[in-house]
Amino acid sequence: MAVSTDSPDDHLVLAIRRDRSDDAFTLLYRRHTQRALQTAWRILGGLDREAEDAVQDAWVRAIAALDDWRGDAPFGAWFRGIVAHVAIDAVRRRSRLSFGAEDDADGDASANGVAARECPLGDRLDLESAIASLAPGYRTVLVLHDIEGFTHGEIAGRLGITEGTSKGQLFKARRAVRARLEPEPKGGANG
Amino acid sequence: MVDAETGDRPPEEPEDWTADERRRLNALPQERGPTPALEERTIAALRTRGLLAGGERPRPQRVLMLAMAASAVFAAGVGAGYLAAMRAVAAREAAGTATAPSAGARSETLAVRTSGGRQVTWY
Repeated sequence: MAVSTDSPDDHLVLAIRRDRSDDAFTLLYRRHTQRALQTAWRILGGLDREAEDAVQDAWVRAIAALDDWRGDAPFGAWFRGIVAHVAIDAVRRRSRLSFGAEDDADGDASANGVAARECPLGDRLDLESAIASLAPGYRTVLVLHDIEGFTHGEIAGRLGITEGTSKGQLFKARRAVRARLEPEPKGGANG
Repeated sequence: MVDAETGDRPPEEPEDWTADERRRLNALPQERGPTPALEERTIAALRTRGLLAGGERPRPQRVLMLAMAASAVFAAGVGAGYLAAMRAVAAREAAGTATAPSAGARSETLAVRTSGGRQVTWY
């Protein structure tokens, strides 16, 4: 089965399923990896190597489970769901995280012992850094809901929490991001 | 209902972003460039698991080239065989003209031709 850069995703998927086509996979990879990598990178709090590992693992899972993609949803969205799942597993392994049990007051990643980038409180942060500095549970829900467009029901299913918990996490995550983006009070931390 | 201790709003209605915050959120990059090594190791991982064919399945161009090479070898073989046969025939003809048939063989041939129905069985 001949494939080209113009081939739609379902043709590429068919070529991979039928012929295990390297060419078809390469095209599919180049079409969807960059978006998926950004998703993994955000969920993992800006860790480059871990994000790439998650994407590689997600591709292996996706190609092994191509029969599960029915074509009723865009391939990219289906694949990013797998990426999110793998990234969440990675976060859990790193932090032994319980997504419904974060009780740190401001959603700071340091409270969970996760190696997020250094973001001292009080500094003004850009939005990306503010999200990366969140505790993993808050960050995951915020990324999935506010950036990736998952519903609370979908998030609850993926994280093994209730919809109410997902909403609560999102509420706290947004509040924590706002706190990080607010201008430093006059007089600074010493005043 | 507001939490008496923390003053939090109820989690059923997460506080939404303002228009400016939403604009900043939407302006975040959607894509991130992977390292070139990621593609290579992903393909290697898929081949290791048998999910991609890798070198197992020859590509059509390669099949065509192999078929053409096989045809060329076959044609060369036919040509060489033809030349060898021609040389053998020429050698036999050359040998036949050099030595005349014996008198016995000639009389045997004549007998066959005149009798018509005679058969000779060779063991």
